[in-house]
Amino acid sequence: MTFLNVVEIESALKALNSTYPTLTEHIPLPNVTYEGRRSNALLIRGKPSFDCRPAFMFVSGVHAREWGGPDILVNLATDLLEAYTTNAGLAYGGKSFTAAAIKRIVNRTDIVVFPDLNPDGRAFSMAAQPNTNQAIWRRNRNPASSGGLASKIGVDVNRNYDFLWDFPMKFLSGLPVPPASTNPDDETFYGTGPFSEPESRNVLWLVDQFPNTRYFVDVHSHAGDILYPWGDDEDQTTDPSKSFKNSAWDGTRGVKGDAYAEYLPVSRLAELQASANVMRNGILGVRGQSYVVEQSFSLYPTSGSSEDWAFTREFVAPTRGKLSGFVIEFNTDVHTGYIDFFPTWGEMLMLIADVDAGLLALVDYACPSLWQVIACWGRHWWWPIRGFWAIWHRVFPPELWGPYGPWTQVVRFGEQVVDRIVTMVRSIPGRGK
Amino acid sequence: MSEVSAGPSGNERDGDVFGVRVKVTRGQAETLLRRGGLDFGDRPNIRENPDGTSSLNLFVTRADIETFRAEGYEIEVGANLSARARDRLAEVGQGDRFDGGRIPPQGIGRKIVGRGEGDAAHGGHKPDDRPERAP
Repeated sequence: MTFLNVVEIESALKALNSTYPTLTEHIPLPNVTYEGRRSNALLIRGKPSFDCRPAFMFVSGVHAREWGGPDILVNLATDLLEAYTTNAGLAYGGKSFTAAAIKRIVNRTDIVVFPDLNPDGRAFSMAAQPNTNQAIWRRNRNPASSGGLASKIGVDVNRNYDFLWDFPMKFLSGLPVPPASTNPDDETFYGTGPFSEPESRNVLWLVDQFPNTRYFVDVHSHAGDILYPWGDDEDQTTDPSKSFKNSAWDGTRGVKGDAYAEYLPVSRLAELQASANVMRNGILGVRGQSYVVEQSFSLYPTSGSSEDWAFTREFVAPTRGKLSGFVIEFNTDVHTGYIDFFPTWGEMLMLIADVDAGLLALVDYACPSLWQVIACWGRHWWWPIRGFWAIWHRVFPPELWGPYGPWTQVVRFGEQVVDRIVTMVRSIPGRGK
Repeated sequence: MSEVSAGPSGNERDGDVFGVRVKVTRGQAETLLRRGGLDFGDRPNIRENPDGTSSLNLFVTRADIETFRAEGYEIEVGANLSARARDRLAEVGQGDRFDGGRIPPQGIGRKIVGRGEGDAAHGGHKPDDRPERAP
């Protein structure tokens, strides 16, 4: 085995769909990249009749040089489908999931993998000439802001999401480390507008297709950590007015220890941390790699990143429910601190095992329990009554048959006629009492 | 991390990029990052050292390393990222091993067939390894 190239990633998804047609759906993403590539996602869904399932969305490959992400997600989908269809459990090193757990996961959840978010960048990185640093390319290949200079091609897609995207206005000016860059020469160039890039718009579209998405994980490398929102400032749980939605705080964000900190409910902070720790423990169980769980804004801010944008959904569209956003930054060896985007394939196999175990641990953790399944089905027990009532109203529409409808008037007129007849009969001498 | 003068294959070239750790105080880190144009990976990453100092991870050229050293920064040089990338290019798939979707991939996870759930020795759940549950 070797690293998947961009063609193979899409072929692998197609092959999984054709091998497991009843368990998967191949999802072409609508926005074509600058170089004309179309990305795809794969949905894994067993027992589609269960309609209370949460969706888990796993994306990777946004930064071209972080090669291993797509390999991790393609393998996750493959392992899940293989284990499910063979009634097998699944193990990565010392971390294992029983056959029952695999069944539960596939039957009660939607798992959506979008492995290669930035195929143009990956293709460019993997086509590097030996005498260049092309393999270290990070951004996409959109030349719109380059002015014809090769070094200025590309947008950092992970600064292009609609979360405080307009950082010069939203953050304090003069920050030691700006959350993104307006300069196309910089690695964190934010693009020409929120969701200006087809790659980020594909993620937006995909999340919109699955309003039941409850967990969003963006797989990156290389720091060996698991990040949870927020990324713009410190988290706080007491003052809802200090929010990304409140423009009164524009120009103040991004500084540790000052008046502004980003709000989230205390229960959500606990849930984010618990979920991140579940992933951490899943990774730890494979071979002892101890990832660091921390808030995305550990020291320096970011704007327009995917996990923050995902987490905004429950604040801007609360009716769509909770959506927890995370970043996993996988690493070769978090004990030695070896920093690298380019592990050997042998090292990559261990990283795949680490991260897939962490992701599966999260799904297993948040998979609906049996009682939740029963409660969900309970909603359907009423369908005969609801159906009968619907037919009744169709045949006897309330506007015709209701108390103020014409039929009621006819009935009442008939009752009055009967009453008069009865009264007349009773008034005849010799009749009645 | 010990200093290396070249990548795993020993083929350092002009302009190669190295992963380095710069030992810094918070103020020094901010001074460095204010320069702009530095590649710090996905986002600035600072780790505490056992001696109480901190280290900032950067990706820089040999010339940058010498510049930082001349300014008094203590730098540990890690892998030659460019050389690692050159080596890894040989490990990128060629063509399409899945034949346009006709050949499915094979997962690397160990499939546990026909064993009990508590069979830890064979990869099943250990008694203390029950999945954590969401509230």
